[in-house]
Amino acid sequence: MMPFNIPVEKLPEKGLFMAYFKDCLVFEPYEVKDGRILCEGSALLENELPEEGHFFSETMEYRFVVRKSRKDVIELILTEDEEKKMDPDLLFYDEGLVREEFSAKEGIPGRLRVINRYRYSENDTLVLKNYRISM
Amino acid sequence: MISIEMRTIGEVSFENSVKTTEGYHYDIPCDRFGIPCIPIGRVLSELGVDLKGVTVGFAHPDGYMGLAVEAGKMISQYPEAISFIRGYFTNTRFLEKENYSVRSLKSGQRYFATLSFSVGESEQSIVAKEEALKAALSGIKKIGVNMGEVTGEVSFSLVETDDLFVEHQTLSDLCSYHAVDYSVLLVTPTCFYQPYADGPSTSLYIPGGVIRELLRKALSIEGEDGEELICTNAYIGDGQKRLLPVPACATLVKNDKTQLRYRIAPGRDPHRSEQPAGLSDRYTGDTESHLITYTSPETERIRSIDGTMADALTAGQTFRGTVYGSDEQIRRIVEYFQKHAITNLGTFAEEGFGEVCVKIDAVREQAPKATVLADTFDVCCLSDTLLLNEEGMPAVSAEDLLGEIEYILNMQGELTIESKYTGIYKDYSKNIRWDHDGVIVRCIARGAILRVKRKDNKPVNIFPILHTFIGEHVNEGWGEIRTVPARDGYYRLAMQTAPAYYAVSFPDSLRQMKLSALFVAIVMEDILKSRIKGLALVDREEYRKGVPVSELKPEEILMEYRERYAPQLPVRMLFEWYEEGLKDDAV
Repeated sequence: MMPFNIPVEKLPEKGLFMAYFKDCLVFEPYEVKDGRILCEGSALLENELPEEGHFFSETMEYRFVVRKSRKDVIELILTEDEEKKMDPDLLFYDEGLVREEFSAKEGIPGRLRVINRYRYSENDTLVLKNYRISM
Repeated sequence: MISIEMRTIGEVSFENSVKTTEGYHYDIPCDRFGIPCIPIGRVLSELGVDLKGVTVGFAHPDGYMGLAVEAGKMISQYPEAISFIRGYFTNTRFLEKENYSVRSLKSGQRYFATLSFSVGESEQSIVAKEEALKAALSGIKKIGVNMGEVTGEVSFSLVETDDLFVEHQTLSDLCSYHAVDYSVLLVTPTCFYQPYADGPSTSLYIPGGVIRELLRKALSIEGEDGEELICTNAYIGDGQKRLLPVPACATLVKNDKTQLRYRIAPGRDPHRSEQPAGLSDRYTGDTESHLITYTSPETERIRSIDGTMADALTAGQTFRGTVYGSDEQIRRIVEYFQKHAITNLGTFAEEGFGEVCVKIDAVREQAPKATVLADTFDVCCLSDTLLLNEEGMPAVSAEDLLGEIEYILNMQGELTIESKYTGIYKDYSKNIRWDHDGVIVRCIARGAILRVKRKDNKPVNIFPILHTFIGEHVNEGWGEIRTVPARDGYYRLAMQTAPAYYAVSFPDSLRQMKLSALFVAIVMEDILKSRIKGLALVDREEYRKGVPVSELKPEEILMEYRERYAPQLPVRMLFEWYEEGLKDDAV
């Protein structure tokens, strides 16, 4: 598989980072400085590419998902601005509480928001097109 | 292979076992055939023996595998044999004063429990643990309860037992192998815990991920090498082959479960209305015949040491799967299982559950390419399939599955769906793995089936999709698909069969044969004796009135029974038992 480098210029400058590595789950605040990602797990990031990674702020999310079947990596940028143009009936805002073991740490909020973007399929059923995680 | 040997010097019984029968205060846990299977690991840790890093299997009587096979045969002929089998190993006493019964192991018996260590542990570490265990065991003289004749006196020792289960596999130097088929026989109840599922809280098959994890540890396969290893799910076997999930298009008729409707085929009579009943979690060997036989793995309740109640797959069932890999990996796998046939899988494995015996069935090379043409063909998902669309989201519709097929055959946009039966499965494994922080993944459920053909009706070479893996998590057995040319037959028949127990053949040692033969002979004699005493019971009243024995004795019937149950017994013995029965005071 081609090596994949996380395009630092596409990330929100500051926000939260969540990823599933082979042996652990990482969820912590990060910052982009001088073209590099600064966070506790940055060493891990250099050695290993997680199955999927989310970098999100209040208004934007950058996500990458490794797709082994096609040997590619799917990259997505989801923004609040896009949502302003979407049909509000197809957007569903969900708020979840963050577990204490994470929210107790500095920089991690007590709640996270997920904006679910729905669409209608050919059969007129409601299908989840995508979602954006937000602070 | 090292085992713990337990000799019963006095009689032994336990309290608080999960399987205490009603009316019994102290009981012996037995398997489905009535043969004792004792969670000796639990007993020993309760007595203070340090079992950290050692897994102790259940204790079974000497020659258990052979005995189980014979017990199964006897019970299928005479279902009442089960109480006599129990009686071969245990005594039952009813205590009038206390108003309960006690079942205890007879004295003078030998029981064995296998010891397993962590996969990949060093020889030194294992030897050290064995020494410590030997010392601890020598101090234990009694287990279980102590009351009256049930003294609980036992003696423990560590012994080296033969690897009875291994049939030596010869691999050719000329071949380049690519797959190994294996069978896993459950020796103790095995649980793959899934607390959120509808139905039993165990997976009804061995997930490919479990096998892959085992191999990864056993062979120290890391990183890139691991990408080549594909472990399918091990589904229940019928004694000869791996059974596969019944496709979603097969449903039974609710009011007559012998009728099956294979709804993807044409030919439905629109004037008939029937109510369907699903066939999920059922496995079949053949979806092409008119009569489809299916089976469902059996489960039982178990309780772990910390009190969790769960379902577990009943011991004795076999599960079959395949591992695909490079030639070097396949050879290493075969070598590993020849040395370590007994291993522990699943949840609660440290407590002795999940003890299994792995047997290599076949080692195969890659089949040479061929052209297999079909006008219309059925693609069936044999395992849960996760496809990711261009937005990184799981794609779960039939059209998405078609898109993947077109991609593999390089026929984008040329195929069309004639008929489809799909389902969605919510997979909680990431959620459980990451302690409920992981996502719950929606994927195409196993059993999903599509009937596909080309839009321009030309035939298609289906060889690339005859049996392959698609989508994500393929290394763990996800995305296994199979394609067959389409068959007619909407109206079919169905028959449910019980799973095959102890249907794996092992080479028999002379000792094993002798133990099994003795077991069968004695159980049959006990059945015969009980039958004869039953005859005597009927005649007892007349005997008491003074009718002589010679007139009462039903010689013909006695001889017939002798022929049926124990032709080797001297006739004199039967007559003695009959007379004893006449004179007996007890009922």
